[in-house]
Parts: sequence; structure tokens; C-alpha cells
Amino acid sequence: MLSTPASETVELVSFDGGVAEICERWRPDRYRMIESSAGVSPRIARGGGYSYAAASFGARSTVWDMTQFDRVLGFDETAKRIEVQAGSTLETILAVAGPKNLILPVQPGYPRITVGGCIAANVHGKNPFLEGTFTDQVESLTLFHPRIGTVDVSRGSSPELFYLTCGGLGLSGVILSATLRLQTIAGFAARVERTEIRSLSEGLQAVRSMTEGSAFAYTWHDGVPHRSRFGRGFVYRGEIVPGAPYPEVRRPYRRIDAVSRGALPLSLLHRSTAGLLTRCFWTTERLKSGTVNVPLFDALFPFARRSEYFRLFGRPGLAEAQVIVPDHQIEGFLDEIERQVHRELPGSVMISMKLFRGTPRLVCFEGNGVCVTLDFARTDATSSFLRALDEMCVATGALPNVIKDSRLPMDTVRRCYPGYQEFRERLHAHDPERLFRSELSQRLGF
Amino acid sequence: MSHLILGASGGLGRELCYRFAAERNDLVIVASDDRDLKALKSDLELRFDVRVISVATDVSEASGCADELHAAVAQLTPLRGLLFPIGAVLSRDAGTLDRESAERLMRVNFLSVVDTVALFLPSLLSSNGGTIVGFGSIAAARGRNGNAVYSASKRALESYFESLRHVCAKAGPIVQFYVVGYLDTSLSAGRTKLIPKASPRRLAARVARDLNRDIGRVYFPWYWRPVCSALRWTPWFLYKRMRF
Repeated sequence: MLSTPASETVELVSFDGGVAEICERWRPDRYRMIESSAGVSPRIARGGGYSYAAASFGARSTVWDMTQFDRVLGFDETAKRIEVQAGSTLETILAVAGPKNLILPVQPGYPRITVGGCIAANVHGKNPFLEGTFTDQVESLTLFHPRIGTVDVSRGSSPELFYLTCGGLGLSGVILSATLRLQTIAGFAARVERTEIRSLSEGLQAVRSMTEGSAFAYTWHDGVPHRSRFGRGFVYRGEIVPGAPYPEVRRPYRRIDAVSRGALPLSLLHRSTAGLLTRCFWTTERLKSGTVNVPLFDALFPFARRSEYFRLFGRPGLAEAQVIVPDHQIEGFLDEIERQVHRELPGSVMISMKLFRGTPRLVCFEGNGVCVTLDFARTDATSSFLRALDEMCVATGALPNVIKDSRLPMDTVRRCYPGYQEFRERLHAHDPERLFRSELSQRLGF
Repeated sequence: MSHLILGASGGLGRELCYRFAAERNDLVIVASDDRDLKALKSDLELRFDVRVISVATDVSEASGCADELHAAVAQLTPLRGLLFPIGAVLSRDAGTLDRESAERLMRVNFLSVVDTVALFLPSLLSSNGGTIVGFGSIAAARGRNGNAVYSASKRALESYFESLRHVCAKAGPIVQFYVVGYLDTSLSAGRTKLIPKASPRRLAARVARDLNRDIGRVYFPWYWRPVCSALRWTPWFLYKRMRF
């Protein structure tokens, strides 16, 4: 006998603050609750809610909050495998596997992101050039769909469904659990070397020369429209410090979610204040030693220690654009970004680059090239700049990340992703009623 | 030390499992779905390095599970506590519930607790220690137009725990009874807006903190005590107009 689970009406907001919607949400915490969810009403699973786009709510779907499905189901130290429920966080996996010198090789930058979200969005980590994306470390998963029930899915047993689910934006069903591949880590500290750079092109050269053979390499550039300061910044190159033990006690970090991020009623980042912020960051970084050792946790999850940055954007939110630009187009792309920034004067704050390697498939954010990330305060000029960026992506064959940009139009995605139509067709064949929907899937025409 | 938790897989039961495992107690966890129990067991063992034995049984069925419970408890360190965060409601429980459904509700909310206490009380009495913790409901404060059998079963449970406390007054386990208000669980989502829902994690922490204290009957959160008193003393001509 099981009491009837109930739903509640809540307002959910995307992490960037760009989309908010009143939704029905229920929080299953037992398998039978999931299985009892028959019917044809639309639904979508939600984890930590850290997606910048509204991938886990919207389209009048009932939101299945899977954060109660957060248990570790198995851990095999010898085989380097961990089986977890989809609501488990990266932090949980680190806590279980870390003491055995094992970690997930690919992890996005915040520890409370859930495994289900990582799979659905096929996220990447600090070094997608060497480590690939999250899908590469998924051994198998368990998926629930009311039409087909609960099924085990792996590359070998059902490759179509596996690749429809990994990077499938949660539209093929609810991921219940996953078995993930772990990797031995030599130590739990990273030595980070910082090099000053004066422009985007200089950063590109630096990150190209430093990525191979490093645990990670990425750039940070001042993105505020300013004739002399725009583009200057640093390249960070990290290496694991061998022998550094797993820390028994870790410095706590201030948690952030989509609601607490937007606690400030107004954005504190306007053109002048953004310039001040980036100048302060640039100055303080220069004052630091060129090489520092940081705990691996801080290197893996840099946003855990920098959540204040996101809070500064307040309730109006931030806009982020992330694109993989093919190698042969990147120089021109960066020149065009610089030109557009000085012409449109958007609320851009910072730009970052890292190398990417992968094979594009369906609507996954994977490919060979340079991953360029831009953060903006939301202004009219930002919207205008992002529209221009969409056209640049189409013109250069760049891939925009659908999970990072809550306003990305369907037309841009359709023109940029060769696998768009195939993804749509496969999705409709798998789920003719299209039970799993979100604002993102509706906006992109899935 | 080990504790038995009946109704362990969700809500308050689950929070109690984590709290007690974090304090390095071995656990016997009992719930109806083996998949939930296996998940919980592996998680507790991996995170807290404790021994956990799971017993999957549907306590709404008439057949008991005494042998399984005895066998499970025998595998662990001496039993020091019985916790009963178990409960079920039916949405159609408004005075017209059929006999079979009413019996099942009574078994889950009341008789399963009675059966389990009967199994282990002799050993707890002979060891002159341990704690038995029951969880009632503010719904039992006064009969109302919904959850008729559920409220009756929880009131029966409250009376039973009063008796149990008397039985164990001179020697034996401490008997505690929490009258629980709205908890923030998957089953209570969206059900009330006027009075804030309490965190099951906080209740679990409170239970663990006061486990060795003879606290008798406690309302959680505390403000439900005056609310329940007010409900009991509300004149019938007013009470009959209330809808809640």
C-alpha cells in the first residue's frame, strides 16, 4: 500500500534567470511512485536545476524533481565503476570514490549538479580536448518511460536509445540510474600556472600550446567593451600534484541555486561596474604568485568558490553563450566578436576559451575546435549582440550550446546542428506522444 | 548498537536512516519495496560504513514477517531501538471506506507497530534499556471530514504508546511518541499552504538527540500543541463548519 504522491505549484526559473514559469512539481522518492505515473500529460525530469536554459520545466509539463533519487547503488573500486541514482550529485560521487583515489574524469564546474542532468545535457569538464564529454564515461543507464517501462540501456545493448538519451535533453524518458566509469587520480591538488595575455588571439595561441599534456588549460579575458582593456586576461594551465592526499575536511562553500542566484532584485553589473569588477579581478590575479597549488575540489568546481559572481547579476539574470568554433574559423570568429562588441556595446563581462575535441552527433555539444564562452549582463544591446552571434555561428559552422543559452532560437539550432532533424525524428519514433517536454524542447521545435 | 526502522524508504523514515547511520548505528530497515530498500542499504553502507539489513515486506497484508525480522535483528549488534515512521493515507478515506481498505490502513498505521513491538519488547525489557519511538499525527487530535480511518488508527496508536510507556515505566525501554504536524515530504507536497511544513530532517535530528530522554509525548513542531488543544476545545457548532 502506498499513499498517493502529491504535486505542488511552484515557480521555477532557469539558472540564468531568463525563463520563469509556474509549474506543477512532484518529488518522487520511491520507484513505485515513478511507475505509477501513467497517463499522457506532459512531464520532464529535473535535477539540481543548474541548466542555464529551461531544460527541466516549462511547456506545461509536470516537473519530476528527481533529487530524492540520490543514492549510491554500488561502487567497485577494482573495476573503477560507480552506480548511482540520477539525482546523485557530483559531490556525492567524489565523497565516495575520492578516498579510493578515483574520480569522474569529466565534471562540470559546480558540485551540486546531478548525474541525470550531466547525462541529459552531455556536459563537458575542464579539458574536453583530452577527456571528452560526460557520455564517454557512462557505462550504462536505467531509463523509465511510461510507454516502455523501465529499461537498461547501454552502448552495446541499445545504442540508439543510449545516444538518444545521452545528450537528449531529458526528452527520451526519466533517467533513474547510471553506471559511470571512474579514473585513478594521482593526487587531490592541482598546480595552476597563470600566464598573462593581452588579447583574444594571444589567448588562443597560448591555450593551443598548453592544452596537450595538461590536466586543463583555459583562458579568461576581460570582455567589457573598452578599447584598451578588452581581451586582456590570463591563461590558466593546471597539472595534478601527485601524492596529495584526499582531504578529510574540506572548506565549506556557499551554495547557490537558481532562486538564490537571483536574490538581488537588481543587477549590479552594468557597463561601469562590470569594468570595475574585471579590473579588480585582473589586478588581484596579477598580484598573486604565478603558480599556485589549489585543492582538487576547487579546481574541479571553480564555481563553488565563485558563486558571488553569479549573484551579482541579480534577478534580471545573466546571459551566457557558448560555442564550439571550428579550428579553421576561429581567428576570424574572434575578430568578428571583437568588432561586434565594440559596435553593439553589449553587457559582456568575460570571455573564456578552451580546446574541444569530439564527434558531432544529434544535438550534442561536441565537435573539434575551440570552445568560446561569453557572459553578459542582460541588456537590449546584449540581445542584439547575441542575434549577431547566432548569424556568426551559422556562417562559420560553429555549434552553439543549447543548454547554456535560454533564448537560442530554433532556426539557429536547426541550421547549426546537422543532426537536428535526425534527433527530432528519432525522438518522435521513440515517443510518438512526446510525453517529455520542456520550454527548451518546445522552443527548439522538438 | 542497532536500531530497527519500520517504514524506512521515504520521508521521515529515510531521514532517520541517514541520521542514525551517520551516528554509526547498524540498522534493520523495513519497507515494502525491495528496490528502494536495496538502494538505501547500499547508500548507507557506502557512505557511513555501517551494517544494514533490509527486510522487504508489505505490512498491509495480514501475513506477518516475524521470522524475517527476528533473523535480521539477530545478525546485528544488540537491538537498542525501535522506530516506527510508518504511515499511509487514502484519498477516499472520508467515512465510506470499504472494510478491506480500512483493515489495510489499520494494519499499516497501527497493527504493524503493535506486532513489531510485541516481537522485541521482551528482549528490550530484559535488557532494561533501549528506546521505542512512535509517530502519530495531528490528524488524530479530533475527528474530521477527511482521513477518518487514518485518524482513528493514529489515535489508537497514541493510546497504545501511552499504555506502552506505562508498561515500561519501572524497567525497560524508554517510550516516546511524537505527534507530527505537516512534514515536507513527497506525499504532502501542495497539500497545505497556511501552516509551514516542517523538515523531516530536523525531526530526525530531534529524535536522535532525545533518544535517551524520557520525553513522553512531544508535538513537532511545537506549535501544534496549542493548535491541537484549540481544535479539541472548539465548540461543535463552530467545528462542524470547519473544512480542513
